[in-house]
Amino acid sequence: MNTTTTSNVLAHLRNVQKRYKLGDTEVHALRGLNLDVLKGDFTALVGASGSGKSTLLNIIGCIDEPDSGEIFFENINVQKLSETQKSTLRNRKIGFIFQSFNLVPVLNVFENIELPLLIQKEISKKERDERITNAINEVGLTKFLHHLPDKLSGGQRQRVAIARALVTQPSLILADEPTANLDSDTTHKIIDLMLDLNKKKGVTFLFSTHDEKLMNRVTRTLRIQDGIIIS
Amino acid sequence: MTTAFAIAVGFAGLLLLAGHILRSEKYFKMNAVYINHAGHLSIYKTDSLDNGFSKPKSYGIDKDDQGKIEKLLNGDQRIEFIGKYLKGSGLVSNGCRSIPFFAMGAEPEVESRIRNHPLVEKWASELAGFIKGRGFWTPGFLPESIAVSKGLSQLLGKPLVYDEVQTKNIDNNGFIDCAASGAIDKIRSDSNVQLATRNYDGDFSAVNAEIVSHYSTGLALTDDNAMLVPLPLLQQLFSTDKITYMAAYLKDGVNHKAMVREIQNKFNDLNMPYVIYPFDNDQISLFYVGAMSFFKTMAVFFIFLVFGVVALTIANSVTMTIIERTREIGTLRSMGFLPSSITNLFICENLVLTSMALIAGEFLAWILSEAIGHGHFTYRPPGVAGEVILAPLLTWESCSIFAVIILCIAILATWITATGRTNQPVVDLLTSTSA
Repeated sequence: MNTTTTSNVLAHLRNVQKRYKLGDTEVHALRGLNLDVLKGDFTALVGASGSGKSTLLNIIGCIDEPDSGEIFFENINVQKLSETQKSTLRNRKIGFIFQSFNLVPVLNVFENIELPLLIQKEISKKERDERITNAINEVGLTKFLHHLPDKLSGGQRQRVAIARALVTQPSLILADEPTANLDSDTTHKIIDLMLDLNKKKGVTFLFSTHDEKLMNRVTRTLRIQDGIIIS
Repeated sequence: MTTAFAIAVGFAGLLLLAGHILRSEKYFKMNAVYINHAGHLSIYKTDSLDNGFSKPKSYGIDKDDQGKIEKLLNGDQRIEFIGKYLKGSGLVSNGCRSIPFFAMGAEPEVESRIRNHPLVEKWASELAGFIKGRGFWTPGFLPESIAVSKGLSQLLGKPLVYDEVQTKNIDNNGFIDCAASGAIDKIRSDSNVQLATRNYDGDFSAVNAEIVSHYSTGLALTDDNAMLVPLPLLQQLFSTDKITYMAAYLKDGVNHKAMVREIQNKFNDLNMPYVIYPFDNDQISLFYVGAMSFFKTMAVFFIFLVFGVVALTIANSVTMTIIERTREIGTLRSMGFLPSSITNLFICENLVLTSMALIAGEFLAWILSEAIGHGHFTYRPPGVAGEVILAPLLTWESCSIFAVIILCIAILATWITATGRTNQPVVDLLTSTSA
């Protein structure tokens, strides 16, 4: 693995194992996986279906738990956190982008982006509005502020999801196949946007993808196979 | 939408059911308190209810005690008026046929006040007036004027009241030859009867009386043997100046149960051997107590039924909503929302939905209540003589109580259903195939 300084490591995984049951079959999703996610990285996680990409992202994002191994996020031992502390960690430090956007259909663009900020009671209404406006501007959806998700295209919806992940100013944005539901042109636009945010704002991205064409656009590629990173 | 509709209809049903029971209670209460002269409180000599019928002389209230009781009650501002009553039985004859009667001797001015009481006219207008004729307190009527129940007038073959006899200028010179062919017509043609009984001294006693009105007691049990007689006439018949009991009619809204204890203590302090009964005591108003028990049992059954349906409807709706929104719950959890926050969100949503449904339900109940009221529908409760007007009485108290209970059910049903789902692992929520 990469040689890094501890201060530069955002997420640190050692010998992580995860099994789960799929019907009568037991799937060994991660088999002693080791990984360091570095600050400012723009990393693509590549692998076949069932290789463990989503499981790895879920475990780094504290929405799933490993059976064994160590996970540190910003030097915090995640496994020792309570459910409430994990919720706070997710809210403050991690943004999620989902393949199928996962926007709340009855809320407009502004309200969808506002959602994660509603938990942060210390943020004033004024600051919240400023942050939302900035996030919307950064993803180029200023004109669609009051549109409901079903009035937007797939690419626009994913931009809303990116703005929602961005608005809390997280250390890490995890994206599980963010372009899988998009056409080629829109895929490149979304990757452009994510790269732009990575360069300008220094946001760390870790995303999974099947698309080999994206490999030459990322700073780091991790190949995962049968639950371990092979390169 | 279906849930809101179910809640609205259920709520309207509850309000109408409660309204019907409240309206019926008012009717039965007016009947017991005023029409059947129980008063809100009635004062009997101790053990009078058990032995007074067989030993009326011993258990009657004499003049002296009547004065003491009046003095004790008259200063109480909560009492609207007081009535003195003598109860007695005997035989009433039309000259050829004698029939048993149960008479209530009442002071004419008190009886007049009862029959014209605003509450009686409001809640039991069916009973306030007479079926025919005028009250025996009417100026110009003879002291021996009496009112008989409709059934008793039929048994006596006396369809006419004094006013009708006077209008027709019928010559009723008294003697009837019962064996003669025109005897029935002669009996029908006048309004006088004879009352006979064994008086308080054990002697035979009889008086002439003139039927001036027919009335309904409101109770099937007494509607063919009851008689309302001026107190002096009945006292004359029983050769006594005693009365059976005194009744206190309270002002509207006074807590009669609290007064029972209070007045009873006063009697005890004065060593007066009297017992105060509230009108809702089964020894005083058996029909009222029985009817209300029946209504309350029915109400409890239906109210539980409706509440159960509402609770299950809400739980079902919340379950469906939560299943449909599982991925949304997962998304919110991934953003950092706590399970309890999401559960509260669902509770708030359901409270808004339920509140709107309750407003719609109240409006529906009000429309139906008005429609029923204007339809002049009547019904005949068991044991009641005649028809009672069907007009559900909607009150803010019943609306508030049922609304609060339904809101609590909504909160509980939502909380139980939502908590289970929001506490599932986030990854399971996000990957759920049911959403």
